[in-house]
Amino acid sequence: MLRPSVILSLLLGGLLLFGACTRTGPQGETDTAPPMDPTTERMLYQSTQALQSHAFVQALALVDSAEARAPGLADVPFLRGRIYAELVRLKEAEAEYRKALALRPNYPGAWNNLGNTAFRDQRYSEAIQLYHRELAANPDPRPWRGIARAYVELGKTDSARFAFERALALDETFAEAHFGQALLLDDLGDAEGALKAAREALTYDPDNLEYQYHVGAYLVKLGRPGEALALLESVAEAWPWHQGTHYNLAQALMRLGRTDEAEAMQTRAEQLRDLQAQISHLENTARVQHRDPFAHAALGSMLRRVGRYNDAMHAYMVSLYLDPSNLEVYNNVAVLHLLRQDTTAAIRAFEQIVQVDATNPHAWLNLGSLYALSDQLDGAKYAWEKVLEYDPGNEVASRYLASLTPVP
Amino acid sequence: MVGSMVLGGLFTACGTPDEPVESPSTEQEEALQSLTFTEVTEEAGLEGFRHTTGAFGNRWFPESMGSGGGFVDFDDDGWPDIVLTGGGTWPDHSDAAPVEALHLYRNNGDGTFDEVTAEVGLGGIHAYSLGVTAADYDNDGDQDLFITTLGENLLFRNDGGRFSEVGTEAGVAGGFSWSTSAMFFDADRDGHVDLYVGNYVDWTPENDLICMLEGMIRSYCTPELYEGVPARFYHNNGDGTFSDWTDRAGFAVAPGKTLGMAEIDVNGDGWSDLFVANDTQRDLFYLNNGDGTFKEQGALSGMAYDENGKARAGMGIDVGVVDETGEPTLFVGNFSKEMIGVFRHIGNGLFVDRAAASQIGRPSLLTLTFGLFLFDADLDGDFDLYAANGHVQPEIDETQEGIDYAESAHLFLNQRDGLFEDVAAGDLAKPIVGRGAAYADYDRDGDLDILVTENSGPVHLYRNDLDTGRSVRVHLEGTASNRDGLSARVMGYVAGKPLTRYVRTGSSFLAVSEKEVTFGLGQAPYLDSLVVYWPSGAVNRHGAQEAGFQLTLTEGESIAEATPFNTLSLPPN
Repeated sequence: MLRPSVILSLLLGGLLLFGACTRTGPQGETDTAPPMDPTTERMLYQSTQALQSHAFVQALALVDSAEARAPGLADVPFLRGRIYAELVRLKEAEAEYRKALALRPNYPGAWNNLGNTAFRDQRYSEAIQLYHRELAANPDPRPWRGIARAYVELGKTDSARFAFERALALDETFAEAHFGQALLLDDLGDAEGALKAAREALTYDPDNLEYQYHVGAYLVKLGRPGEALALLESVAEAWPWHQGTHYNLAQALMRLGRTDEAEAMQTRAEQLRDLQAQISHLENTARVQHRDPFAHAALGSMLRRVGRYNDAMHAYMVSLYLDPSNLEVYNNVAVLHLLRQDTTAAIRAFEQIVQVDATNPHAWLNLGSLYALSDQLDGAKYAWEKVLEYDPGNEVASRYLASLTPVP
Repeated sequence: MVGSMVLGGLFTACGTPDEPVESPSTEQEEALQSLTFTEVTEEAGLEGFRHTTGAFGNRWFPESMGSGGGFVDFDDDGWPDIVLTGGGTWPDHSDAAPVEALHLYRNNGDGTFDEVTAEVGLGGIHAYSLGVTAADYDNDGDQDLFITTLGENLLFRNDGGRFSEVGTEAGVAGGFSWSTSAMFFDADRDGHVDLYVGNYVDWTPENDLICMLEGMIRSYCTPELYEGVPARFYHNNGDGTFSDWTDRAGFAVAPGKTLGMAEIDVNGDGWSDLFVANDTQRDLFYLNNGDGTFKEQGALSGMAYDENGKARAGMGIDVGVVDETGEPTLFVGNFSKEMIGVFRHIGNGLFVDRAAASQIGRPSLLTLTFGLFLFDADLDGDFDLYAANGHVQPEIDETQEGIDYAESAHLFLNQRDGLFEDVAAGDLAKPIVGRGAAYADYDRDGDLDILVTENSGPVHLYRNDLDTGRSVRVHLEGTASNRDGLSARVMGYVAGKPLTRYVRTGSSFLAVSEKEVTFGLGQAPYLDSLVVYWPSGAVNRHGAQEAGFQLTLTEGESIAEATPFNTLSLPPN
């Protein structure tokens, strides 16, 4: 079993997984992590867990508490930076990363994450410089991948290719670099090379649906629709919302002469394209109006509608961070938990709703149903009685309550 | 004045078709060394033109799209004249006098142009003008003009060099709409050219939306926010009027947001098929049913989207046979961060995406292409690709690193093996906010020159200084077919190699190019033979033709009138 400090280190790394607390910089400078008391360590660990489950309010509260206990600890602003980055508050994230670096000049991952925020803000040249700072402090393949992607955006493909090669020289199992190479080679017109690189990525990350999709799409492009079919069908099953997969499936079927099936698949692809267009618009709105809870909530609802539950949860939780009093979003989160078949989380979400608004009969009704589903019959009875307290004529609650009464 | 001579149907005195030619690589190298485009706007007398958007700070969507222009020989003297759309102002938001919707410049035959707008009856026309196309729609021997606008479109009938506006009485005004590019072609091969008019979105000052760039800067909106308006198709009744056959011909159900269209006979059945570029909507492929009606089959054919099934911002468009497969390849200009689309027909109505493989994709990824056309820039016999670029957001330089408002053009030279190389340099590579783009041999020296309009800016005329004279140019005059020979296929054979050309309007963006077709001969001394497939179904064959001449071929006649190129601009032997 891993020790909490090791887990903490792994989780704090985020995009960079540096475990050691002491390392030597390029100029022989020693960068030593100061000691951390167990309670602070636990708080940061819990904050990281909260971040992973998109519980941003909780994550920030825990990180604030950790800071109160141990001011001057670079881990605190670094983690806060990651939370802000998830909340699309890039400027605040950058400020936190820089605080971490002020406290610990070679803090593992800080320059890299600054590079990531610059990249997201389309400041590609600056991102490249920041990634190089990370490499100077902490050699790792990931900043090289960041550099490569930035060069791709700037149209400097030779430099991008070099950077991908450097990433892979440091870690040949780095699937994301292989995949980045595949995209670049495809852009450069080397579809065979792209296919090979995408397959290489799949070797190291075989369950990655994005990689599987691209292998399928490259096969279609290379005039090998028969080989692409099974792969694309399997991706479509896992990602029924993915427009590109359905489009390429239609193309593969068409080229195999299965015209009727191709037409049906293309119809589905068109529907998904319309939905994706709406999502793209909402994503852009949420990015530009990142402080507007409704923008994130609208995005969450659209993502939920197409079945992208994890992305939907992220958007809802950003919305709730910005406006914790919005019960409708709480309700959407609870429903989303149900859709993800996580009854326990759904119960917790409805409990939160009735804590905020104890007079909400709909929340009580759903909560009662979830208690009943999880065999908590007393809880169910209590919840449905609450429904009748605030909505005496509610026939559904009455019927449910009656079903709890043993037949004599 | 250049002389002309009448030649027999077979011209073989200057050599035999089997004479050796130099290898393509040497040829290409030589062509590259001498291929230069020089901006001659000022010396041509075009420096006074400015496109007017009427912008007053509210960033109204149509302001970002104009302007159009191109080449039309309005006075039938054999020298291509220049027509430009002036744009417009917003009546309630400007104290300035309304601008001329059209500007016409007569080619003086000495490299200069004189504005004759008022003189020919085109003065005092006030509309928010955008695109232009031209054809002899009434088969009376002169070029008529069709102008697209934000509002009712305008048809100017040319009667011996004087124009009268007849859009409403001819039935092509179309009511209030935001029309873009337009194209005359003979959809049903009845000898009268029909008209396809692209429409964009349902925008009016009243339903204008406020858009912000990165949430900070007032910017021009993108078309996703507005409803698309389908194109209109007008059937030529042959009596000077048109009937709206949009529904009857199969064009009624369409996403709209159209910015360009191009015709070619994809499946070789003798009937014109149609490609349509749409902004943020799927591009369209209309296959002619063989009776002047069409069936759209773009999505399944593989040309409607990018390789991930995503619709792009289709702008200018062209299609032609660019390699030795003999199959047409489609080119579509797109937004920045979207490659120029390149789709080669692989038979059975299916296309393969060759954007990246052709080496056009990557170099075009960061530019926003509007005008785009195929032409033989270096006269080596194959089509090259010109793309006029320019962004729509004036502040884009501040918000997106690597993307500029004024951009260099692309000149992709065909390497003959399905690959292209961007060789834009010199004047052609100077950044501008490019929009409409057209070509013609305005100085009649046998090579093709370029005209490009700028949004809210000047026009640019780039003279091709190749000056090899190694081409044969063909001008068609239909008799049973439409007078311009539109939709005719002209096959030229050079050193045994077939070169396919179509006589067309349309293509590019808001623009009209010359209707003559040009066969670059490379190092070959002459064109082996020439076959014209007229839209009427007639086929005329002509024998070998020496380089350095423009031929006028009349449908049904085996005799060609040959006019030598303007030798004043050719280098001494």
